[in-house]
Amino acid sequence: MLSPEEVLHEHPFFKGIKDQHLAFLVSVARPLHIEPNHFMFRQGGSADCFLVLYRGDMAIELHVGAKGARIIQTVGPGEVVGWSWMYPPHRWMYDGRALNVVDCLCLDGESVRNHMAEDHEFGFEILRRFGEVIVESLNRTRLQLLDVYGTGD
Amino acid sequence: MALATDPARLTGADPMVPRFMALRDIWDDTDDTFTMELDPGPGGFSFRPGQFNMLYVFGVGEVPISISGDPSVPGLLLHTVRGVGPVTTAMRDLVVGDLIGVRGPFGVPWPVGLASSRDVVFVAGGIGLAPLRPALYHVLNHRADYERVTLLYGVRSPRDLLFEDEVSEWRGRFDMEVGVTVDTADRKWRGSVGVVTKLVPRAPFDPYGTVAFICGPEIMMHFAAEALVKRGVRPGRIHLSMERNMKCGIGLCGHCQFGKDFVCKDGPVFTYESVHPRLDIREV
Repeated sequence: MLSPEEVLHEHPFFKGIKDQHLAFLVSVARPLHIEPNHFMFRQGGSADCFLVLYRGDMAIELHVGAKGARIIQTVGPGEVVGWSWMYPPHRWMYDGRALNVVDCLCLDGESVRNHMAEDHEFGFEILRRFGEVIVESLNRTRLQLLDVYGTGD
Repeated sequence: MALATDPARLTGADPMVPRFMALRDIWDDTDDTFTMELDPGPGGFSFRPGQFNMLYVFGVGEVPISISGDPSVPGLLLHTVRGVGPVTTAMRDLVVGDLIGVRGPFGVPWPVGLASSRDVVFVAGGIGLAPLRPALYHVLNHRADYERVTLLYGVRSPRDLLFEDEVSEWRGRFDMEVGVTVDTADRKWRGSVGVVTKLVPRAPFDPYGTVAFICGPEIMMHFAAEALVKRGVRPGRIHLSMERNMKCGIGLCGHCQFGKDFVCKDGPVFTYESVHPRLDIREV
């Protein structure tokens, strides 16, 4: 089993981050092991952390009334999940369900937020990295909205 | 004399004159996509991966359709078609034995030779898997000539998966990597959800030596090519199949003009390096 330090050091999201920033992140990380079909978070629940995935895949789902749960996207190793910890009211917007065995790190949101406020260089690094993830996600969502494989009718 | 037995018509010497071929079989692949198997006659029909034919439904019209079969089996001429307009809708109404006009093969093929001794990545979107399939067959038929082979395939939903059995078979091979993703799904789907570009960062290939072939909607190809470039693949080694309104198929009429090129004659396969500047110009 990998240690939190090894995971964060190898994870693409934190590539190139300074050692002291990495040391702080390790100090607020706790490992999570989730069995298939178990939920890591539920829509409306308290978003008190973000997840750093390094094994397994996870479905981000939205419950659409009578249509049931729709999978909005899937995420896997090398990705991070969750932005809701950053902004009030700190509630998950979706369900997060393990598609297979998932191993990840849960990084405490409040601790990271406070440290970002104290150490602006650290804050900038985290925001810059999340910004890239958010832009990427926005672009992908726009492509999905275009329904490029549809007939156009 | 019946048209079908007129020797002059059967030679196909003039590229503007269709050859008549009988429909040998027709089947549905998905709700809106079907495959036609044509009888090319005793000599078979030679083509290279990525080439297309102009298919003529008599009394309705003519459309360009990529050949979707195995180039090493010239007796089996397959076209996979999405029924969206009057001609392709009429095609789906044809029955075994009906005649269809065929002109071709036309166009610049996938440069499968350039990919020899390199990693090969196929990126397909929707029905874009059909024009790529002959190149996939070629690579798999000559598997020892290539390094790692990867197929990344994106479709709208699980029910839109084309050649599902074959994709499953490829997925089970030890010498090929297959990634499939859908834009939307319910919980019965166990695979990836998201656009096909998201599969690029995790795909197993060495970007510096990789040759990529992309086929799908233009906007999808643009984003897929950008994702490959971001990963480190050289734009000159990324090849994509462009689609424009083609009529003559031989570069005479100008319907398919794409900047300085005619897609029918100079394409449909272009390098990303050569078309990239034009993809952002809306007038082109």
